[in-house]
Amino acid sequence: MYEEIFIAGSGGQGVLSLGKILVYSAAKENKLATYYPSYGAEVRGGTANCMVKISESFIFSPIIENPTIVTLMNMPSYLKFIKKFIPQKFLFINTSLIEEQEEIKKFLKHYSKNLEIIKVAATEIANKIGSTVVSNIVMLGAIARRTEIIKITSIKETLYKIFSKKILDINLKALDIGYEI
Amino acid sequence: MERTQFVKPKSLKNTHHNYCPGCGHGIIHRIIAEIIDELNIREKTIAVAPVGCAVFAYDYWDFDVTEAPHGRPPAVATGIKRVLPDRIVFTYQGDGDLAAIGTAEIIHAANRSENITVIFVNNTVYGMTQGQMAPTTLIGQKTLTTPYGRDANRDGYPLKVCELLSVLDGTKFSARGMVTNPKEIIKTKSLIKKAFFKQIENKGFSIVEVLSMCPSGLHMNPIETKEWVEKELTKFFPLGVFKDV
Amino acid sequence: MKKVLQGNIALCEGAIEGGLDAYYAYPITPQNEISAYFAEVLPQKNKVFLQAESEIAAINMVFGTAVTGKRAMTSSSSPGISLMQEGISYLCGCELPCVIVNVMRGGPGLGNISGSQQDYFQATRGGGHGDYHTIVLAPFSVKEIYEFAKESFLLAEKYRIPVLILYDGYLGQTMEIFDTDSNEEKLNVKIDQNIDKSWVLDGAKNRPSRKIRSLLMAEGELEQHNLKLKEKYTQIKKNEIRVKFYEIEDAKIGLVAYGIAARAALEAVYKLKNKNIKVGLIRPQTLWPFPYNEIKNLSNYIKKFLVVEMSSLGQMVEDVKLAVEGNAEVFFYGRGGGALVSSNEIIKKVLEIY
Repeated sequence: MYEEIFIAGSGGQGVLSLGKILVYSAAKENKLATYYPSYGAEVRGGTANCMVKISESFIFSPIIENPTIVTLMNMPSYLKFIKKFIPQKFLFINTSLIEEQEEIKKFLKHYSKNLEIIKVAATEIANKIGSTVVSNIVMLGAIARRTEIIKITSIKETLYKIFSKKILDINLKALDIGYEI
Repeated sequence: MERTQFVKPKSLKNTHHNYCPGCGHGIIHRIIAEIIDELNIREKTIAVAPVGCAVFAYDYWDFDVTEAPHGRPPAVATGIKRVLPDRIVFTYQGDGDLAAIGTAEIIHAANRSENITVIFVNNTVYGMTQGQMAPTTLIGQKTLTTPYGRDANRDGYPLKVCELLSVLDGTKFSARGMVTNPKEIIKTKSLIKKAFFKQIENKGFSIVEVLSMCPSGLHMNPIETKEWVEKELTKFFPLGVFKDV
Repeated sequence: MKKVLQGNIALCEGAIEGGLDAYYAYPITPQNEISAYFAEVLPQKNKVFLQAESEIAAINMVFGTAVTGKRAMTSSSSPGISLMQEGISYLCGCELPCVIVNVMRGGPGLGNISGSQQDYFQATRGGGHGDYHTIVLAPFSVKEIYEFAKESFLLAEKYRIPVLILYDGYLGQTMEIFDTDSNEEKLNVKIDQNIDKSWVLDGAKNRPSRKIRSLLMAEGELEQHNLKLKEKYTQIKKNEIRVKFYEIEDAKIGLVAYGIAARAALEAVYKLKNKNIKVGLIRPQTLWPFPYNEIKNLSNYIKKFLVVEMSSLGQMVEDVKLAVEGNAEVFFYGRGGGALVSSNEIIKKVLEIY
């Protein structure tokens, strides 16, 4: 396997955490992975993003050129990144905050013939279970299910390791709900 | 009855020094060496020499001495003391080194209350580079770069280092002496000794400014220089203890 | 042991494994994770962490700790490293071992906070005043950052020389999975005899007093010192050049790249291999000493070299030209301003000259 995953949203939506959790979980499966975040002034510009690569063999550049999976969590990142990072396999969009544009839909149809678009109302779901901040984990559940790049058990192991008891349950719940979508 | 007239401190090497006639460095080197002998700390002393005439201090003192880039002895001393907190670490700096190029380093070392001692030799002139204006040069004083006298409008005012550092919480001892005559030398020696005690007692940052003579830089003979320091320099740079906590 | 670390944190863990005693630094992006980590961890280990008032103070604190024979390190990014050059010259003059890390960003001036490789000249030519070199290590992965940091103190002490670890902001921010037990990507510094510590200042107890200095005013004294340094640099050139080769045996074009640019170059090599285009990669792990002879030897059959750097001017390209001595054509592809080179861009350039 070799996957290039691009994840973007606004600061506070946990897009960087989402990327890191993917890498930690890949480590548990004896895969190799790289994670590269946007940082510094760029982060304060409204969108945060990270690039994750997961593979069985040595990953050359941590920088993404041909993403297979793209996850977009808010409207500014949808508008800013979709034409720059055209996913070849999967596009996950947070429909709670993204209104799809006809022009972009046409663009994707043209440039990515076999693309599967998965719509997840991640923010709404997160709100329903009690916390906006777990929208990233809802999305992660959906990514795990649809792409099968990482086993849900590996992700759970990671969540147990990185989250305190206080917030673990809600994150596990978010992951399960996302996985069931 | 036999009477000892002169004993060379163990902390001074048995060598000639190259300072000019009438220069104060030799006296200050010696009283530091005496203090280190008296406190029995020679084997655990590490000194930091400046850039300037006193860069050669390591040829005269018989304990461990390192060089430092111009103005940076307080930072170098910090790096020594932080990893060897049981050693006695002091810097020996001139007015150009400490009060011009090294102002950031001295202020922050004092402000962190680094447990080091600073011996600050103020002779109002850059001796080694042939006598330019120093940050402590008096208003009206002629130097190589103030041939018409230091002009406050152009060059600003002489910097009062001890007074300046005294306002910092980190400074635990700040005093000014001079080495123009035996009486003042003895007084200054006791100030420096007190500063070393502060360090030994882990009190924090201590500094002693020493008004000194640079006949070559000031273009006066040794006697005139000494008198000028006593009469003119002390008017602007009063002697005494500014802080002792 | 398997680790998942960001480059800048791998540096910290490697340095601690390598016996770091004291770390001094001044904040600057993109390497602030380093100070944050050390601020938290070093006090727990009874080691020294101190935030300096400037990079100038930081490098001089390193100087002070190095004088005592303890293991000192500082880190910064390009503008801060410029400020340290005076101190580095003194460290070299006084022959003091220490480790300096430059997580490069775009320049000149304040530039930007993106990764770059624009400080190659500064790093490999000495950077400060006087005849000197520092050893320059150029890791290209998080694992290499870890391993190089771990061995850097040994290397520094072996030759009484500052070791500069040079990587860019991108690699510093990159997180990777790696295995500390694997022997790959290590420097394997060989220590033949006990490291001499007879110069250390720790108080003249039961020994004559010592001095550390770089001022040598007596007639001929400095020249002797310069020659001694030269001999040391000759030894380093003999023993410590590290360079990796990839797909070089039947290559028609030799790419030359270091750090993160070498990752993109390597990607290009294998993408081209799939198209049966024979391109190899030469990746110096030490930028000083530079693998002149190794590249010279390759120029016997590789007649085209393409140097890839994250610099608009091209800096390492000059060393490659020196290495081939006119025996092969040397091309350059680079991007400055904190922009990354991509494998696709490299491929395009390769196809132009193939």
